[in-house]
Amino acid sequence: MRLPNHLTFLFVIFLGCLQSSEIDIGHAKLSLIKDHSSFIPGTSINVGLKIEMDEGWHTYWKNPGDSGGPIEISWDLPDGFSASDIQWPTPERIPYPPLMTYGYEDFVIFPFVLSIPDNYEDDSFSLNVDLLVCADVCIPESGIIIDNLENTQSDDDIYLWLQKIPKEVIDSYAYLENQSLFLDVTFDQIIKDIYFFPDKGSFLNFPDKNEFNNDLNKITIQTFLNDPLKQNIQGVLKINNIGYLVDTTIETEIISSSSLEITFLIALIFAFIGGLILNLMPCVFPVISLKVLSFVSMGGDSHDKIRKHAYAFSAGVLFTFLTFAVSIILLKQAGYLIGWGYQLQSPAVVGFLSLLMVFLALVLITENSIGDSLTKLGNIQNNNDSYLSSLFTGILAVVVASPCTAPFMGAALGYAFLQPANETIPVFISLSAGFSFPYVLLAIFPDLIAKLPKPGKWMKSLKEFFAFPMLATAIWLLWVFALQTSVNTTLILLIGWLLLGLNFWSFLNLQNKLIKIFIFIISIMGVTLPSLSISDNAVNEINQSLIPESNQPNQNYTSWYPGIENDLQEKNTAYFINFTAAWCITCQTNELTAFSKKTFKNYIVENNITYIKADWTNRNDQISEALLSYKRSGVPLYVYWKPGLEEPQILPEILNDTILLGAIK
Amino acid sequence: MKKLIAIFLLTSFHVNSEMVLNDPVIGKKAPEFSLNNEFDKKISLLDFAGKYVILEWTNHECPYVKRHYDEKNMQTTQKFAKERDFIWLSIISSAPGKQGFIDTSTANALMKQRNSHEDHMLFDEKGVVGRLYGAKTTPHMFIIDPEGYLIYKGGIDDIGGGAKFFRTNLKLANNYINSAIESIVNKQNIVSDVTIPYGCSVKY
Repeated sequence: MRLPNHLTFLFVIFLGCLQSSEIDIGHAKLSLIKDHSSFIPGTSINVGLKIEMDEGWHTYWKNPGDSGGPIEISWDLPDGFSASDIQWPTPERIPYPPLMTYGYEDFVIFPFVLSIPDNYEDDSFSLNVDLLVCADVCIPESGIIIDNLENTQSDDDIYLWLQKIPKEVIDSYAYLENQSLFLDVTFDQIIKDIYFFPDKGSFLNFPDKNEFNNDLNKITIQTFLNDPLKQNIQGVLKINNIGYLVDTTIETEIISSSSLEITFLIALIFAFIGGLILNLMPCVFPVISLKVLSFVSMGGDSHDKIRKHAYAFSAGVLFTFLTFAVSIILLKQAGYLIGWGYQLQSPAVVGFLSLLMVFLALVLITENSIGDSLTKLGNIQNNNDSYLSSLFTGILAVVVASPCTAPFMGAALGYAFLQPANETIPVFISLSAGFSFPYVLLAIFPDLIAKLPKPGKWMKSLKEFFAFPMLATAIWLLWVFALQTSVNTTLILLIGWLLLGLNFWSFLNLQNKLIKIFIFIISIMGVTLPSLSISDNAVNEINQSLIPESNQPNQNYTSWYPGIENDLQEKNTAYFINFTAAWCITCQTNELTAFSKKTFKNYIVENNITYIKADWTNRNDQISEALLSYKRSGVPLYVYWKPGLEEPQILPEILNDTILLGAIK
Repeated sequence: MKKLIAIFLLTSFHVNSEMVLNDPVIGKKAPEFSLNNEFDKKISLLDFAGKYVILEWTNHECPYVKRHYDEKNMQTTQKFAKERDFIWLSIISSAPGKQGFIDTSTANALMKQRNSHEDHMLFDEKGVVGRLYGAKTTPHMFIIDPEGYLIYKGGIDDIGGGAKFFRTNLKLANNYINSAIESIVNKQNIVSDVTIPYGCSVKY
């Protein structure tokens, strides 16, 4: 196994002759040259590594293109001297179809800046050079130049190559569209020839020429970018044989399509309707029903009281939606890509919500009103007949609503997320107005309560029954939590459920305060201690599950990746994308009522439709960007395209198999 | 009419694939191929359905390939793969007369001389398969899963091209193929499934 470390094919040619600065390394001659300025201590001087290659041979630029690699040098300089890094002259294209390489043919000078100290005794140096010299085959060669710096020959050629170093940064604007990188630059002369040499490390293809439109001094270069995560682009743009530096961030161009476009006014209307429908969504319904029941029980109360309760509730709703809006705006400014329901991408929030659900279930099955329980638990003296409870219910209703997206909401929120703050806030206000509209209506016309069913014993049973949907929601959140974390972390959450129940019982039923407090402290310790020790592991596991399960081809769907839409459109293959998340209850309902149905499964197989899933359960910026490109901020989102359609079709948020098949047929 | 368009698209695509390099996408079906091996026997990718297949583009005269074999780095990786029931196919896309182009007897001698563990050495002298896979360098590596989906494309390790390669200890490099095999065996996702290949150009 162990082998000598020497490289048999490496021709190390060592020249003992100290005064000769030119060395021959096979297919190339190396020498060090300097400019014509005097060698003055305390100044700096341009030196260059001159490489004269056999005709037809070349060496590489810092990014070699499809094959090969750049030169490597290391200086051994006397005390006080220092040399800059290689200043790379603008390269040439050296095509070997179908491959493309970047470098210098026949001859090159790599310039450096050499700093000379104020005083020195010794000016002997050695320069170690490793490079690839290639024609159609490549030979790795190396050599050592040993000389005295002052003796370095002056050579006019260095000025020519100093000029070839790109210095001027060209104003440019880069953006991605259809997996191609477009580079717009402004240039005030006629362009005869243009080519972009990207720096190393970019997953750009290296084409033999760049397409460009010479229109209004605006050049669009189209080149293929393999790496959708690339944030910025650097390189050299060679126009009419002169190199300019490019260093710019890549803007992600949002696919603009008229069919998805909505205006501010429509967004407001959609938000209102969406908010109104949100009341009926499965995650909100139990909470809302409680509120409705409490209104029912107010049948005989004064109008003033009903009004105040309705307003308190609406205030809670408005407050929570605005908190969401503000946090979204702030996070957006901080550079995070987020969307509706983003908070559920955090296991901590999901865990907390599940505990909240268990708590509510306990309240429902034991007590009469959440407000009462809260005040009892918190020992809050409350004479206001629990208007606070109405406010809390409002907050609660919105908090539990976050996993749900009602019809119309998707489009409105998508709009809100893309707009500046002054349009985001009104959309959220409109949403909360829609959500609390029925209660505001009650406040304005308190007599409407008389139209509701009369209160009675049925209310108590119904209320207790609602504990079970709550527990079901808690179980679902537990499932989401388990997907996001690990078995051990899930266990801690379950222990949390247990201790919550224990405390609930102790606070309501035990008389001895000391025992209550003791149980409370023990519970807090019981949950926090293990979660502190486990948090790191949990995060690791989350990161692992973030990686898409694309390596399981026997699944009946394809995992989404950026650009899949274009790939399939190019192939003229119809596709259906299901943007989903485990915590999105609307998505899960649709899974049951539409996607798992045989009719749908058969249809996509028979019609050769590629079924794609994009799982947004955990934070995934690529998916967030994709959602934004469809002008959405959250899931569910269903996108369908078939050959012949100009724009992909967006399906409704709530589906069953009939709607689904109707839409894609 | 639709059929005509489809045929036109297909044929133009076909012509295209002969002219330029394709760039196969991770998570999609890897292109099918059949090529003759060192015993002049036709070998196709389909023969290995149900097994993981590693493709290695090679050219025994390329200094990068030479070093990987001279220092037994490639053989060790091949052995690691074979012990885990992976299939290893070395493909030569050098055109006749170009560097790395060899006949069957040279191929057999080469395999014996460097004691390599590939299952087959395949000849792609027209460069068709190389272009289908977008093979740019020797070495350039691909991994295909048992269902025929491409799950890795890129370099053998993270050293990268250039003169630096010849001064870097191969054993200190992050061998992408070894890590990918380990991930597959442990049923984990491959962390780096697209990397930058480096080496000599494929001599099409």
